[in-house]
Amino acid sequence: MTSAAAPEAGGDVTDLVDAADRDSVERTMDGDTQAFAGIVRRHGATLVAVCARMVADRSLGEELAQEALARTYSSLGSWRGDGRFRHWLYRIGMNCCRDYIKAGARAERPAETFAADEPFHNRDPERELGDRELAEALESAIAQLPAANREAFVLFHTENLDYEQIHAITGVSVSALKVRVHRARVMLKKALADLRRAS
Amino acid sequence: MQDERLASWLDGELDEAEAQEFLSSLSEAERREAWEFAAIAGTARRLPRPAPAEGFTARAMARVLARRPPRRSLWTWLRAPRLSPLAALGGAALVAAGAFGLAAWLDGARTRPGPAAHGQPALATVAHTQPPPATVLARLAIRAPQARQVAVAGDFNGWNPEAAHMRRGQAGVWILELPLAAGHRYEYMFVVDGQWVTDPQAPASVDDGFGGRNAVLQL
Repeated sequence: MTSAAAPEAGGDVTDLVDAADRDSVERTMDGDTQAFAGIVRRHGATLVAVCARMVADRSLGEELAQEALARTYSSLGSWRGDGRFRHWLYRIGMNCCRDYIKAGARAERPAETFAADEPFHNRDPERELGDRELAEALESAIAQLPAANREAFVLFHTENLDYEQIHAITGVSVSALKVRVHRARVMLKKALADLRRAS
Repeated sequence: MQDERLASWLDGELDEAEAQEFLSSLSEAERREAWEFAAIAGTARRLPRPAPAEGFTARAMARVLARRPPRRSLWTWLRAPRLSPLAALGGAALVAAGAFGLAAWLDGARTRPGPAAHGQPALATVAHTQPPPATVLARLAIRAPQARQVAVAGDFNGWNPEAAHMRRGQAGVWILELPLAAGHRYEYMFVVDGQWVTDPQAPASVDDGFGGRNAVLQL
């Protein structure tokens, strides 16, 4: 059996990103506030993607990502520097999402699916339609997952992070994360089966 | 069906033989169910990523800079790792070795078709191959074995990474050849799975005005 704790994806490139992050943090702390734009540019898209999936709303996800970046900037001085900077940043992002979800503000908003905007590149039109329907149904089902399961599923399956990285971001143990991801898969399978039966 | 084994299979923790053994241990109905789980995982991986709207960086920076500037706490400062003189010397030696290797490779590239001729792909380097009179075919490469998508954005394509996707070559090296004007100077960055990365092997780079550095390609 291979190890679940795979090395950080893209070893050399992620080291490079980490070095660039540390450089941006140092320069920001030294008073070059524009240096923080490097962090925004390197990680803004991931933050938006994760936050948008957590709250099932793209524009709200962007809002939460901006808030996470602003909170990170203000508290840069408290970053201990003993891990990857982006794991700390994403943790702040996840906390922003949790705060929002806990506040219950999401309850009144309909879940948004992102699959309809970009077609799956499939040459078979029937299959494309099937894939698209499955993707849309899956997006809706992900939005209905309990927050803890959604968080683990999104980071593992849609952001393609490994369990060690997710542990570094969320602080949840690897074994608990595995349980959460699998429970999410079971819930999603049931939700999709219910949807099929209903239609 | 054993949930734990199924989860390990879906998490990609089983090697090929273990996966075969797991699947063959299932009844037909269980196998169908296992593949339904796999389809969910596969579809989730291919879901389109919600992307930030245009101008996100500027909007985010406006919000960031409206906040209280960060302050270094004494405790953090005391605990921060310091670069030792020995490590600095080691780093300088590595940079020098890298620069020497790149210079030697570029020198050799003038007399051979490209790095692949050596059977060893170049790492984030640029070479001239078969130059026509007014344009050169610039080859850009970066090693990113785990990346899912790599593109290059620069002033030759309006800084649009969607306009120049790189193809995955051997040993996790991503490559793209671009016909560019001879004698011109270009700035560019790689975009690895959505993250902007300065070419680690570029002979020169310049401040991009956003806290990063653009690699410089002088043809």
